[in-house]
Amino acid sequence: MHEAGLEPWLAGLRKGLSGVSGKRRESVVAEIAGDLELRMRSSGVDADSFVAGLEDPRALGRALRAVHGLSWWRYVIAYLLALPLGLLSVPLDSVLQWWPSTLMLALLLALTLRSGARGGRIHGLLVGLTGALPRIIVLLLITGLLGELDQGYGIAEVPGGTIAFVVLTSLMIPLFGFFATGRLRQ
Amino acid sequence: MARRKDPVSEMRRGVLELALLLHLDTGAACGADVMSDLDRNTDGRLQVSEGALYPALHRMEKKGLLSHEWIRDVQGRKPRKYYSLTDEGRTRLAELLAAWHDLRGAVDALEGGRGDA
Repeated sequence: MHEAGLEPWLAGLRKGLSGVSGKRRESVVAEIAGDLELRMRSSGVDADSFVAGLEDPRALGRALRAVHGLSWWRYVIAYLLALPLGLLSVPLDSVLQWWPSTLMLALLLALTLRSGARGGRIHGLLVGLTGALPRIIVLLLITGLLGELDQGYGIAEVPGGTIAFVVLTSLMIPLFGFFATGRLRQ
Repeated sequence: MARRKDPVSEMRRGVLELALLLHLDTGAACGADVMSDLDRNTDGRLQVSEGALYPALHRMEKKGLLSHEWIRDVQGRKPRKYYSLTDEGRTRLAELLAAWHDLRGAVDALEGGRGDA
């Protein structure tokens, strides 16, 4: 807990740092809070007067986010990679047994964790959803398509275990992205 | 429309990295110390705001010019982040100082020439 008078200013700083991973954000806030407390003590003025003389905390947070956060093209690349990885990670055992869907799933998970750790909770969640939603859609399409074909020719169907696996992992991946923030070292 | 930047602010921003490297070359310091020392040692001619200081320190650390250590200098208080120069930072300082002396020499020569004319 920091000096009470500084808390509203520090809350503004945290807002400006949104998008930066939790661990890094708190480290930045701790550094600046420690320095401000020292400056406030040496200045001898009360907290309100001291805070009034400080710069806009959100602007400072945004300037620091430009240093620590991800650049816009890194965000875009994460989404562009998550979408095909999600599509390609659907198990196609019924159709293409050699397809390395587990590898694609592992890559999607790694990308999601990295995005969460580097770009913050929301970015991790959205990258996870970008990969997870198309998996479910593709699975539904394949299940429906194979169901149609099965009626006529009896060739194949998606096993119930595969459906459960895809649904479960698709639910878990965005959550991993959301909770990855600050878990991985930058 | 492109925003017009104040040339004096631009010059100050350009000098900030050199000023920080020069200051930290004398020993490790936290952000608060850097702010007060720069103000005091330059007789108020180089006042640095937190909005300029922390992004600059963090950018320089990211470039490998600075390293940091959390030090609790008073028992019972929270540790503070102390920055110090890395070897790469010292090399960068030498480069910037050489460039600074060149520029200053050039500006002095131009100013002297103007006086002679």
